[in-house]
Amino acid sequence: MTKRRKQRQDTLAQMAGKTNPVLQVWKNFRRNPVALTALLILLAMVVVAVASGFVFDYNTQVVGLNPADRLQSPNSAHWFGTDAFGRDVFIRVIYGARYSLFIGIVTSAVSMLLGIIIGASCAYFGGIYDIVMMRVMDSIVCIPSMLLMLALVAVLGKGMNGIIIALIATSVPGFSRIVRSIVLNVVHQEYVEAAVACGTSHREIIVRHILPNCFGPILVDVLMSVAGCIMAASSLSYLGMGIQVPAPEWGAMLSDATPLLRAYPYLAIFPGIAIVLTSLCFNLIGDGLTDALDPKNR
Amino acid sequence: MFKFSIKRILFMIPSVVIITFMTFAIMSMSAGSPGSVALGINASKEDIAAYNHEIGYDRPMMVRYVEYMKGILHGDLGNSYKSQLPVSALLMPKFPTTFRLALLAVCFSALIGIPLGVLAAVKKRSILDTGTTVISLILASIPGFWLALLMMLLFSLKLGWLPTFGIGTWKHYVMPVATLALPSAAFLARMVRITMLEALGSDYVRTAKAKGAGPGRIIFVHVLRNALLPVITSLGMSFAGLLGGAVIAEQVFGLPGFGQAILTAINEKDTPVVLGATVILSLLYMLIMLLMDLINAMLNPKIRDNLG
Repeated sequence: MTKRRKQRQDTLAQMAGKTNPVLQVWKNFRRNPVALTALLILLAMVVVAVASGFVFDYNTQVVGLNPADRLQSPNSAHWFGTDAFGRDVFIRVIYGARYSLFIGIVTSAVSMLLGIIIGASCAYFGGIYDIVMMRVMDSIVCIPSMLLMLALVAVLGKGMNGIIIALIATSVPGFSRIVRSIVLNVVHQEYVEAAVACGTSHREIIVRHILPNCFGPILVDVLMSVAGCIMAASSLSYLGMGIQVPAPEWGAMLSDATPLLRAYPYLAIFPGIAIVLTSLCFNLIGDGLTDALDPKNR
Repeated sequence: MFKFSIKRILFMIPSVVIITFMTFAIMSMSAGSPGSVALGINASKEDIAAYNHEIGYDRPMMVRYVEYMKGILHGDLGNSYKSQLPVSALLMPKFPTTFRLALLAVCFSALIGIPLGVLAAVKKRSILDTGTTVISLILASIPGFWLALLMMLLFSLKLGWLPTFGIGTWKHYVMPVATLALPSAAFLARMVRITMLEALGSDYVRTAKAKGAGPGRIIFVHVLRNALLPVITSLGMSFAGLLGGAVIAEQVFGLPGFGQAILTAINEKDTPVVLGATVILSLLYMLIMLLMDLINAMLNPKIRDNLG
């Protein structure tokens, strides 16, 4: 077989979908033991977080006061000890995963969607719309993110809704910028020009031809953003501006533990480990995915 | 260069308007009105309305915004709802603490992060490289306040080397600065490593090698200069970010800075103070970015030509 004929056959095989790009990326990803472990730990966490809602009773076991058992060091009955109100820290840490995972995933997903809408439309249409939009996004970036979040929480009120909206507002500008630059790279490729020449509609070109080719790098950013959102949400709660005690949010638990740091340091250890482990998992998966998406690894 | 500077400065004007307008609009949706904050919770609705009318709070938002902007141009950020004092007089005494904290943090992060990143890139795949990557990934996943708590636990409560709370000696600054500097150093090390690796693989390095330049000369004369250019911008950004992010370190270690003032103001619904602090820090951020862009343009003719 001549070289050219072989090439042509390969191309035909690709067009027929014989090498699925998603499968290829997964194959690469699977070879990375660290990222794979992180993914498994994270999946376990999600399962535990969902299950904890059915296993534990919120009013008695999670927030219920139990003065008889207060401030016990970690022991066989209470693995992570009990807090100043006699609540089991292990149950609270497990239950807390629900808040952090929910906030992290929801805010990142929504910010990504908004970022894609803004970024892709800017890159695609260009012109004055692009300039104005990007100017606004750049201006939001100039407001220190912690301050913007605090200001938004001050207006929206403390609690779940406030945190989520504040986090979305601070992460959308970054996403729009990234999506815009990724899409700009793709827009000038020949297959897009070909689609334009065929008279395909704007919506169809963006949804069918451009976005699928930007999906990998965008997904990496979403994963990293989940880690950032989880940390930011716990920081807000620690400052007393986020999820309010007695809800077992990790940041709020650490805020409760701070005055007792000298005598009962274990109270400040476990929720912190939970935050670090969760965000580390997202960061590691993002890192692994970056490597897996690298065309050099195919 | 002159033309570039002028253009760059003119570009800032719309951003200033957007930022101030946005923060003003957000804050004016706040639940607390000047009357309700100043007169307390026992005041009647009529008293609050009369108070708001007296200071002109019941006018349309746009009118108040224009007035606010006029004030800003004269350095007047309005008065606190709570204490009636000018916001600038309330915030200014708090500024040096925050500024010192952010400046020290950015200096230390550069002192730690840049050499580590350079070494990691030069000795790629060595223990040092892997160690830097692992530590920076972990540090990127630790929220600042927990890092602060852990340090407090170890250095203050277990070892008794450093004070936990307050301000006064240099010892009070060690842990807050470390809280801010360590994650920032980790980020910097990763970034320097990447830009260094890119520069090391470029054509001019091959040319230099072909001309017989030694590894020391290549790294210090050719690679570092090019690799550190983006780092300058990143240092500026992290300094500005640290000014805002210092809230957490200030809160944990009880430093009377901007962050504490903001948190107190939020709890008291003292909107002008929150607004003023946000506006000051955002404008500062823009000024720092302007400075960084000008430095970059001075060092790199390519950027100048793109805009000039």
